[in-house]
Amino acid sequence: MSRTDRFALSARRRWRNRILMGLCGGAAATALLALALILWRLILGGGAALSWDILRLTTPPPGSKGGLLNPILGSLAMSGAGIAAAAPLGVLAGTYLAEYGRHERLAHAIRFINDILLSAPSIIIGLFVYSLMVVPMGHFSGWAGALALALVAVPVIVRTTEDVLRLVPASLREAAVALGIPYWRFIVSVAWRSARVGILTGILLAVARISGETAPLLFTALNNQFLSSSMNAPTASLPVVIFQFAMSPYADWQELAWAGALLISASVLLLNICARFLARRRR
Amino acid sequence: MTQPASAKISVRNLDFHYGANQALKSVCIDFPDHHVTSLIGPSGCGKSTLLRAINRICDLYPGHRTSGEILLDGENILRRHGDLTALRAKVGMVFQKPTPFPASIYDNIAFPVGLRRRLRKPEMDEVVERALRRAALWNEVKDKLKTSGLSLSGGQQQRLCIARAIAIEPDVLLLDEPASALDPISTAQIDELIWELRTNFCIIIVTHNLQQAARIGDSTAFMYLGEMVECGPTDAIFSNPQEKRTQDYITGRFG
Repeated sequence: MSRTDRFALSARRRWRNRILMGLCGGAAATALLALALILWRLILGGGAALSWDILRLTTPPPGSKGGLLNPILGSLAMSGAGIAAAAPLGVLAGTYLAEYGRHERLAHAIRFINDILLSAPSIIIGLFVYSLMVVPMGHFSGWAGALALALVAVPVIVRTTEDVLRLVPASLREAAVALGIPYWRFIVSVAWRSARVGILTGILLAVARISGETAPLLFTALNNQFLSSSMNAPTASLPVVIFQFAMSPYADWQELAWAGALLISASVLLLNICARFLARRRR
Repeated sequence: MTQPASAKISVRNLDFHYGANQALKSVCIDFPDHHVTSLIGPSGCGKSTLLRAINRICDLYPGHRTSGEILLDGENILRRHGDLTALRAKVGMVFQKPTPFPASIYDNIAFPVGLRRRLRKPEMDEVVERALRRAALWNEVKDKLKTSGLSLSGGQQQRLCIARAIAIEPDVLLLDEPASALDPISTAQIDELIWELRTNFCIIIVTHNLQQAARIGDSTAFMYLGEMVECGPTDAIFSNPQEKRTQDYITGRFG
């Protein structure tokens, strides 16, 4: 091949490279633009409504002053209870899939079902908990909401836990076993330890996921206009209140909905940044 | 050449199948105490399989069958069921790639020791120091015992793994190509270390490095395609092999 041919070939490759790079860059920019527009609109709509009253007052009747105290507390309580139940369950189940069940057919079945659950529409989980808890108890409750959120979070945590535990090198497993270390001790002291950042990141992502879920709460926790100290009563949550207020014809309710939306987005963003920060520290 | 007084480990007619593949074919060999035996042979000849059968680490993976006997102090360890941790504590193993746990240098040794023996802090300090000294690593790490084991160089990590293996006081040390990922200086250090450790352990080392086998092995065993072709004193194997396949291998005609 002559020199000029080689040059032409490399020029053609450079062009192809540029085209593909342009396509990839354009796609990334489009995705980012959508995110930026959403954030911009949220700040525009909700920024003005943000005030200390949001954290001090409960949801008002139309036309009077109010805040979002009851849905904020409700969301915190239900997400907290949901994660408190889902995290140990998910981590242990993920550990089973990655360690004990590595060569077992049961594990394949569980992984498959977990993946289905992971992509199941969350409204179906809400309906499931409705028939499981709300109907027999005869009323909506914060506990039912927490259960629904836990069911959304479990498959996420199972998946991330299994994935990060699979990154623990087989050589480490063999080394531990060859030292006469019992397998459970290896899991607790070596595998979890080397994967702890990844496991924690998975839990944080699950928190971010459920703190914005609306559908599982519609049939379970419903809503509550008043501050309630009991999770046995129907419980307000930010997503449901946003849904209700944003659909209403009242301007002050709509404004509160914007503020709530901004609040959720900001906290989810913060959680994701925390997860990212943790993940980076691993390296 | 020191002639073995008694066999610490006796392998008798060992067959090993991975699914349909037979990795070991009726292998017989004795491994004497206080003695280094080198296993040599081309890749896939079954050296590592034999090593991994002796502490039953092969049990981590399903789909294998064994028949025959591996006698450790007269007990057939292939017939052991249930908890194998006691066997593995008696038969230590060091792998090709250094495998320090993601923990401090100190904890890398103290963790497995602490699982077997309840020791107070000063006693544990002593155990850790003795293990590191015997692994010829103490002088390099004595001022940074709290730093991560992963921060050491490859050769240091491997000596840490050897220290960790001998700290639990096994009878047997299995070394699976312990120096193949290391540079020549680290390799020489490991060789010297093995030479010194042989006074206390029954050592079996798998190696692709024939010089290493010649340097450190009291005995050498040559395996080929799952068979034990020839074993005997290292001098005899290297200077006067009885089998043509052995001769071909050590002169570099194949493998």
